[in-house]
Amino acid sequence: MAQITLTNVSKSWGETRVLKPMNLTIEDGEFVAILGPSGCGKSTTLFLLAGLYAPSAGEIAFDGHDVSRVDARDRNVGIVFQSYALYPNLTVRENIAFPLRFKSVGKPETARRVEEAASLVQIGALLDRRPSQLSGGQQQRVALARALVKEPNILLLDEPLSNLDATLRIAMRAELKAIQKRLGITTLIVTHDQIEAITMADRIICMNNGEIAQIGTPDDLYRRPNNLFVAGFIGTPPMNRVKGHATGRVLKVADESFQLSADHSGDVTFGLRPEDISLVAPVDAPLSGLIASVEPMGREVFYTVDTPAGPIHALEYGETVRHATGASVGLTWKPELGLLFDATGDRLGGLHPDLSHSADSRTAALQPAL
Amino acid sequence: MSQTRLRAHRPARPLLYLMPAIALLAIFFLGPILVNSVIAFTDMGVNLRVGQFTLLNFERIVQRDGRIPMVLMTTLIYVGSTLFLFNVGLGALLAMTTTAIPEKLGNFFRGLWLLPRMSPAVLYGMLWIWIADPTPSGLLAQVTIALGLPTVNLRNDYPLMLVVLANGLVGASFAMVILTSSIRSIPAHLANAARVDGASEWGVLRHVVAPALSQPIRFITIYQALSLMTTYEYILLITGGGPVYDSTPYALYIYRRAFENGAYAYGAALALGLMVIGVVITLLQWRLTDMRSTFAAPKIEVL
Repeated sequence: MAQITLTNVSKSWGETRVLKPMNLTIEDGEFVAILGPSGCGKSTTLFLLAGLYAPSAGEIAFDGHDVSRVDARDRNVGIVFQSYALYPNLTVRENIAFPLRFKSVGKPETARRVEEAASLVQIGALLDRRPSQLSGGQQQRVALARALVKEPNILLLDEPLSNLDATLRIAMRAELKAIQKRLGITTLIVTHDQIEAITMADRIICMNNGEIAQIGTPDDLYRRPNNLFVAGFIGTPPMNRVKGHATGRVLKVADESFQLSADHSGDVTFGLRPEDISLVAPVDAPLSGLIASVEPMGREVFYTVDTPAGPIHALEYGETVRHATGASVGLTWKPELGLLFDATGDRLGGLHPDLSHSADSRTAALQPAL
Repeated sequence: MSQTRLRAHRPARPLLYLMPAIALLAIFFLGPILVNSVIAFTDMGVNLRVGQFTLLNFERIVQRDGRIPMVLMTTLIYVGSTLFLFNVGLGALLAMTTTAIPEKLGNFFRGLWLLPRMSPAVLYGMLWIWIADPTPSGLLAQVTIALGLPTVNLRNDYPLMLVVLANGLVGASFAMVILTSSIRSIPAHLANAARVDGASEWGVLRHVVAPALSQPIRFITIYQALSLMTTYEYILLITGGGPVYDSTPYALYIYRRAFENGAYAYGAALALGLMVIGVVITLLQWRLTDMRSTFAAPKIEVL
């Protein structure tokens, strides 16, 4: 169990900087997900924590002790690799016992801890098999038992679920979370799957281009994204993003003008999640358009609406398809759910466009939208 | 659809496709064995005439040839030391070191080690004769003279060591190439997992690299043991098997008996003995090392 602190940690391979200086604190017992697209530096961060890479600069500390120059074998971390990395020549029992070989643990103690770890991940019956005789899910459990058997300070999971089939992945998600909570072990999981991050983690570190885009609870990232990257990366289908321009209290999007809740000037992007949009009669709606496509998805219906501001995606819950392709609809939403981002992509906190049209564009708005 | 007839899968004709290989095996492998076996039971000499069929050759091997025990000892030392020190040991060391250094440098060194294998045997033999030459023009002699040490005549005083060195330095490249690819095929995360689990770099070598090399090393051992037992060209070129019979292993002994002494039939009988030894060693290793487990199922379905 340990608290992890990263101070100005960066990593470069020769000329290429893969990780920009990073500051981060992970509390003891916390379950944190590092989320981001491939190549964003999330696995590099994990390997830096494991001690498999040395940071180019900065300090990594476990419980306040600098471990930046400590070898992987002396850090007492457990890691589960994406490929599981089980020793093919050893049995499951020997695989799990392997980390204990390097500690002064007696034979009876080793046997006891192996049994304990194996039963924790429910592979007690497989101990005498070899990795090649196991399914992907079973191999993953062995890898987890091997990581846990040495009672590590921190547990690192490198995309551990990505090689499992969909059903198993959902089951393992819940199980991993339960095991983590039971052992209270500081855990970091690297994933590119936002559902994994949102469902399992207490906090998410969202990374992009070798730097942290946002750290926060799943709800923070979903409802209060710091920037356009997080807004677009979290959520499926992604947030609608429409370019516009603000002058004083007036926001112009395409031909429409909206009243802003505060002053701002410059190019902006207006963001709105598809499920926050209600499709209503075109009259009185702040934005209207024609339905371009309808995709029933069982629990919800996914609409694409062609508006003067471009195509807008909207999700309606329930299986009934209420609007046909080509129908004219109005789009409305709760004003506080609409987000504004400035020209650099950072969110403008506390700024929302009102749904009523700005006074100076009354004439434009009176004209039919299409 | 009426024109296209769906043709059922026709089994391949394995015999037809295997014919060239079977023919080659029959002419160059089974044929000579057969001819050799017949000659072994005759009294054939340089005139190639067969006077009588006899078991005398075998009696001579077992009872009357006083050189046989020494030749067998020489063979054991030559094959054993070349095989374990060089063909497997040095080969494995080269594979491990050249994969641990930067890739370009590693490729360069491996290329260097392959050079003697590509050069003609006679040239390579001449090179070793020059190295071992005791006159002031020899390479070793130049070094010992420069250091003020007494001159050694390797070909005369340490002939077996010389042939082991000469053969081993060529032979190591075979294992080096095979084991390099084995090391490359180890997943990178396996070594990382071992490090995180507490292994030092030696531990990684022992617990991750060594297990991956055990299967190919078994194959290399069996293959190179047989090949060392039956080849003698470098020995013939460098020491000629001498002085007297001091560096003559079994295969060279057969050659010398048959072609230096003109005892063709006796040579054939000796060769038959070598074949029996080879088969016994192969079967033993097959049994001891579970070679069958290294076989993979065919990737295409033929029959």
